[in-house]
Amino acid sequence: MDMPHDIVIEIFSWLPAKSVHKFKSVNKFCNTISSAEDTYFNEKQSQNALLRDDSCFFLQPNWIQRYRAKHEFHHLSSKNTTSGVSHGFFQFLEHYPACRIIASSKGLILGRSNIELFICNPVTQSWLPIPTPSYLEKYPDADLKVVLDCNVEDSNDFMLFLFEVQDEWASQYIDLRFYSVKECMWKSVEASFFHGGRPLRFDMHVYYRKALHFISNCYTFISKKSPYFRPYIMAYNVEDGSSRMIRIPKEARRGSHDLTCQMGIYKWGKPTSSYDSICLVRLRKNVFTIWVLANYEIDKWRRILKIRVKAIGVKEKDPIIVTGFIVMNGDKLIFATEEKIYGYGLRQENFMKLEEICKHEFGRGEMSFIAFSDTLRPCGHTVVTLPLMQQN
Amino acid sequence: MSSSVEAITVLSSDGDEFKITVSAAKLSKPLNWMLEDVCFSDDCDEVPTIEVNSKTLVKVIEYCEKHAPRANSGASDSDAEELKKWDIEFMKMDVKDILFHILMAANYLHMEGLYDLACQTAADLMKGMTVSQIRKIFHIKNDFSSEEQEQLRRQHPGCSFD
Repeated sequence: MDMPHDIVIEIFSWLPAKSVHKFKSVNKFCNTISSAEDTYFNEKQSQNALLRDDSCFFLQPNWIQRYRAKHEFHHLSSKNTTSGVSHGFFQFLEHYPACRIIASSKGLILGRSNIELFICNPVTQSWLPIPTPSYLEKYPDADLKVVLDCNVEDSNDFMLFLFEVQDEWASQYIDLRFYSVKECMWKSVEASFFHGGRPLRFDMHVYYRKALHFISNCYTFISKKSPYFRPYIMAYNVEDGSSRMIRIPKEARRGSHDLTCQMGIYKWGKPTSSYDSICLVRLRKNVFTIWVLANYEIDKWRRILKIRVKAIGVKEKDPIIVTGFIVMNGDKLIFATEEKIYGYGLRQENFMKLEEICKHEFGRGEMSFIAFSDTLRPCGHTVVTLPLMQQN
Repeated sequence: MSSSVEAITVLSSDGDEFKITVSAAKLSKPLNWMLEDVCFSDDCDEVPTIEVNSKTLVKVIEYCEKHAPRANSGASDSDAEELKKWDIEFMKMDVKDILFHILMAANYLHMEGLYDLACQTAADLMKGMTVSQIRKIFHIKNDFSSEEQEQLRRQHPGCSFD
């Protein structure tokens, strides 16, 4: 059967970037798909990618951003071990001075090298230098509190927010700026973000119902009388600038001051499904507990799982120490032990199914996961190639 | 014929007759036009032909009938969830044999939902294939000259033509 070209293009737009590249050698027509000039295809592919699962992740130690970090790159599925991420990009990560990935969303990553910032697509090897915000010039050693999210309508655009935290304990308001891709500059946002009494974890956010959600830390230093005595979630609505506090479940608040207690919030469910929401994962005394926000308006949570790490089925020497975790694609808990990375299903037929994903070399150090998917998403309109590549 | 008809009869390209309900036909613009023609024309004996083979048309109608209630009235979250599962089951079919025909039919009948679903399914099946497997299922000839292949290899180290 001869397939009309427009249908071939449509099918290709649902492929991950690495397959699109692989199939360039099918024939001359396929070779023209996804060229830099073919903006229709590239935009379509990146919009479709918003509906696809992330297929890989970066691992890096939980060090302060100022310093260079070793990165590891792994695939969620052991069947699928090639990605569109080029060798050149890994070299770039390794050799560019003090290079760190600080955020990632649907094929784009936000990188930092000292006070230099850039957006980069590791698959197309395009990059977009971002002017250093004045905040970073003033505090060059600070950990940047930034949010990158590609869930926007225009595939040439992305959401990039900078939260200018001065002193979290002193002020309950945080000024913020957003980066305008069109104007190539940081712009201030009128409504500041009310963050409550605790520092928030800006390294993980959930974009849901037009608002960015952050969870606070669990430290014990706050007086019992304070409304912020227990951890909470704070939401910032990007459309109207309003802030809203969301209470976490009572059971999660209890014992949250325990030194081993760690909490994270992640997107729950698929973007196309009707049940998308936020999930909360707590790891305390080697027990994972997971809740899903069942009613957003009245902060009603539903507990879906409580399990000892030991009971999950990991075949390692006791005591098993969890060094990091994340929920990927709204349905899978990924966690690291001293030696390996595991995946643990949270929904439907994969519920409570354990799989070994890979080994890692970070040992006992705490680490963070950065989810990634290979897409052809452009870094704005200006296309520049990675700097190291130009030298070659 | 009055506008109270509940189903119309159409012919496939193989000449077989099929019935499709009015509400299901609304999922496709061309089908809807045909329906209007049938409802408002005096000559009721004429049965419209759809340029889709019987095997494919059965599936397309099955999809329309399943999705029609939701498309026409909106549905609750649990229905949407159920429909998603149904779509996944529905798409479990052979690529060469039927999926490609469904794709062409959905394109020809302007059925956006089915078209996206079929494209996505085809892409998922193709992901793991080799270049020569893709050529085989699409019936595509390798039209690169050996010089062009050489050039592509230089541009993209590791690229394979098999």
